[in-house]
Amino acid sequence: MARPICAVASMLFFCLALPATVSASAEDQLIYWPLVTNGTEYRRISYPHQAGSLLVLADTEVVIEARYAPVSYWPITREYLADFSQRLRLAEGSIEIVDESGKVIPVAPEPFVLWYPAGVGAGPSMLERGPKALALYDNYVKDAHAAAKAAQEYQRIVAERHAAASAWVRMAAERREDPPPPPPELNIEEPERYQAFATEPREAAVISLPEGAYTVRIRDTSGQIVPGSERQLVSFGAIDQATGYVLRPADRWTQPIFSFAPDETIYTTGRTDLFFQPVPVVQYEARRFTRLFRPQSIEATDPTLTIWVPSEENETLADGAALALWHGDNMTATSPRTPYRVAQIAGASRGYTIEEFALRADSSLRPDFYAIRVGGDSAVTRVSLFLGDSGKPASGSERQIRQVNLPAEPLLFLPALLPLAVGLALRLWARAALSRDRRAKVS
Amino acid sequence: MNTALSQSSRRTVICVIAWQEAKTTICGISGYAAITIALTVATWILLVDVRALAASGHLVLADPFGPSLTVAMLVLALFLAVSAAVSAARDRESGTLEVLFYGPVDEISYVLGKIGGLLLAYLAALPLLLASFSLLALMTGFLLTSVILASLILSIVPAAEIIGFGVLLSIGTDRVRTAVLLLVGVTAVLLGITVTYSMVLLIPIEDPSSPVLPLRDALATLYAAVRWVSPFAYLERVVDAAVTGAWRTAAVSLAVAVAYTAIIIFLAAYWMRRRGVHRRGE
Repeated sequence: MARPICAVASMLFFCLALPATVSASAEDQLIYWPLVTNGTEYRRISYPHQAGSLLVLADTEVVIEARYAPVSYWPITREYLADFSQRLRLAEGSIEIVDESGKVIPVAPEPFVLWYPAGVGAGPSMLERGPKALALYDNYVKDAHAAAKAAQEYQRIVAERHAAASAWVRMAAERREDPPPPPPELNIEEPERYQAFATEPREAAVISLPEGAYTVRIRDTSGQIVPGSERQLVSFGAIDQATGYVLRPADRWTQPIFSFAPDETIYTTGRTDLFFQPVPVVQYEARRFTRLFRPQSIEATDPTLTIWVPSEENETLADGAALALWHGDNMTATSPRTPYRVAQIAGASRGYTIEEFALRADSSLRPDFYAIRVGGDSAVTRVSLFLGDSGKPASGSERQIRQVNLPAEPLLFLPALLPLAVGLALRLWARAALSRDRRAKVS
Repeated sequence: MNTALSQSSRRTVICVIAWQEAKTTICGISGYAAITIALTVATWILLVDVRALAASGHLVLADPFGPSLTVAMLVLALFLAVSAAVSAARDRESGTLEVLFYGPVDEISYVLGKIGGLLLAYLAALPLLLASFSLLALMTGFLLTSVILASLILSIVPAAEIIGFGVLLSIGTDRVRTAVLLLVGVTAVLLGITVTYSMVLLIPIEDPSSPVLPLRDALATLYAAVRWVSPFAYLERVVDAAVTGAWRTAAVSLAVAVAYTAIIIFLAAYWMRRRGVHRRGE
């Protein structure tokens, strides 16, 4: 009995001691620090040697940079982290990409800019490179200055009007016999806030690679490969494409639910209307997609699992889109994509209503969202998206809708009693057969 | 006692033992009670989605019965493992095992017969499971997909593995009570490591010197080992892979489960031969 206990205790001690033996001392490494995208946003991802192959999405613009930095093991997240807080030594030399056939592609540095058309953190980001990047940045600076100037001018006008109104109020308080007329109402609209942002142009190696496995390395000025600079790079693409939906319930429009995978079913109690916002989605291998922004993730995702994610919102998908509503095999109606605006209900009752929004060129008001409304009480069993006049539903856009009437929770436990009922019935039948046999024998 | 048996007589012996074992389990009420408990737990798991739908009014799901099915099969498989352990231990305790081995029964045919019989009982339980899930689908409106049927069929091999595990653990015991306690204890350790690791992962760690960190790393190592050793982990892996459509993973896990079952059968037969069929003290 003592021997198994000692064996278990030793094993536990070994398991406990092993992490402690991993040293926390920093090691200088050549770190690749690419700017990669997951289809919607760009992020800098640090790749120490322990992080394995670099991962990028196929046919997307990626910035490849490398620098020397101290790397330490961070036990809390079980990752090797590079310390970029100090003055770092850049890896000098030119980037080369070697494809599977051995062909060497030198990549010359060029200017690039990260462009956030809706603002940082408020929407997708894009990467522009070359002369287009410089032109974009120049336009951004001009537009931003113009918007700032317009905002400043508006604030000045508002301040002047406010001062004039205050002065008139003071004069009115003096109860003069012939008071001047009050200052006129302000009839100008506040200029729209400029939210876009662009990073300053910088030069670096920008690449866009088709699917495949590559080697990335750095060649220094003397023509030699920088030691430690050869790393594997995997460019992976989408497995499939489809149409997903962002679903906004009418009573919780700020808390949407999502249906990206085509095999999902939408369950509803019919309590409220549902607003369907179609979005293009793509399917990736889950393990690779997870590692895209977290290359050292310890989550052992099944390599055969896939994930559906929205790709960058494509306005051409939305234009002319209409949702076909089906009841069984019959198409009952098609609803076009419509702008909606959320109007707060005045008064103490609070709440809001969602109304169709009439677009006007002379108004700065914008709809809160574009969607297709499906009534909660409609007998719709299936929806699919039609684009333009193609006459065919968009790939992967079909979704089943099941309206359910949920019974009381205790009733849901009744099916669990079925096996017990079957067992009791069998026993009773067996007993009845036994007693019949006994009676037959006696008689 | 251990004379070499011909293949046909061994097959006959296995069939007789299996049929007897299956009949005992199917005719007894405890099996049906176990299925009811498994379905009760499954319904409780399903209530999570039912309540979410009732609260929000809308829900998007690909396979609402996936998690419930996994739990139901785990509970049922645990019951069958206990039944296997009890049956084998009772045979030894009552002296039946010794009597059997005076006849044309050897270790392999005994072990295979026991596993085969309880596997037949598991197969008989699957239509009841499916019928109850169908009723639940009718009541809730949730879709019962064809993947559920595939998962039920694929679960047969891991179920055999779990039953064999129960037989293996009972070989070394003399009494039914000891066999049950041993199986429950080992299962508690295996499941306990998994549950404890999941809970420790939820504890926020803010400092590398936190005492939770070495505990987490130790549990991670144990968890990685348990995933290969625990037969319950194989059942969960196969069913989860089938439910999520990861068919290659399901196939690989099935192949490993078949190999694991073969190893368990061999170990059980070998241990029985080493230990003998007499009660201890005789």
